[in-house]
Amino acid sequence: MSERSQAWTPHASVRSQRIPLTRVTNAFSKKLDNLKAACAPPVYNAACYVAAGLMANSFPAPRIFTHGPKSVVFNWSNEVDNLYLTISADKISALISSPERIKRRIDYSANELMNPSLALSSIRAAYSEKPVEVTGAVFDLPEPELVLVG
Amino acid sequence: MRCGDIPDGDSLFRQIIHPLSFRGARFAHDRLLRLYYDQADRSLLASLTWERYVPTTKLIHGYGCRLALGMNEAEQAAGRTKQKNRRIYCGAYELKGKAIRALAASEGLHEILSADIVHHVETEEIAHADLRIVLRPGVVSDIEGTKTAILDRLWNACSGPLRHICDCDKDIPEHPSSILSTPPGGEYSDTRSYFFRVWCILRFQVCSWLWRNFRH
Repeated sequence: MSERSQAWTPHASVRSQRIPLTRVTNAFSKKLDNLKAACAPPVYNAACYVAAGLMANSFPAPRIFTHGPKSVVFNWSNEVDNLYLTISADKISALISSPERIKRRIDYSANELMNPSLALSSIRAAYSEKPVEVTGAVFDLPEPELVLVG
Repeated sequence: MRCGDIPDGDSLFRQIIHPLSFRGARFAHDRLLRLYYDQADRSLLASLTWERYVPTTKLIHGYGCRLALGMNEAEQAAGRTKQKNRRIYCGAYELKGKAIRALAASEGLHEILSADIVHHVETEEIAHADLRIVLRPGVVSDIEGTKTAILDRLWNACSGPLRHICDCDKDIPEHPSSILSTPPGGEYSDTRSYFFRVWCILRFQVCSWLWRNFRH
């Protein structure tokens, strides 16, 4: 992991925000399905893989967009800050920003993605100075079709 | 054709086309710009329009209507005539030259070597300008993440929208211009004085006359 700004510590309040998997809906799954045509297969598979990690870490359903076939971006907003996860075939980049500035950027390599739980927990903790509010649907994910190869 | 540097204080506009900048029934601010990566030059490129050659709201929207019309003609020429392929101009967002150039000094965007806007007449449109962001060699590890960060900064720096319905789109019952979002920078406000606006329009008239008559 290469970090572009100061280190952070996991925030205790995040731990209490776990979402029971019984509340899962298929909204996120549908969003991911829509990406199939828009993304290169390795990118789509990487997105599914990360999405599985997001579900395991109780992230709320994100907004999803792409810059083109080479990446998928998951986006969450709270009152002022934005969190973006930009997923390409072999990398993931986290960005936390406010209207005034970029607060943090963190790049993860493919190897670090082999076990995404730690990275995603850290990202969530960094973003959630306030607890993340679950306003929309939560996840129901397709099975990842491919494990990332570094 | 290139003529003149774009001052920091000048406004640049990004015309928004439905459905390209929308996701379903919602405006998608991440589609404010489409950044094209030129690997040979290590640069990211996008298109804007320069206020000097669109000095009035009518001219800003005129550019957008022509842009959508051109896209629709291209779609029809390719045989794509379904309603979902129809391109609809919805309005424009404003960015200041200074805000774009400030990307190079932004905290957290150390991979940017320079960010600039260059006047570049394209497809007979005198107002067209290139947004050009050059990246440092050997620094960028993830170009897609860089694109995300740039789009986030530009969305937070822009103002608007200036909504518009083209004459050819007045038959649309729920025009998508109504769902454009207001950016964190707030609504667009033309801060030019009356006399400066008059001067801008006169300058535009002279420049465009010269361009039409002496460009070749």
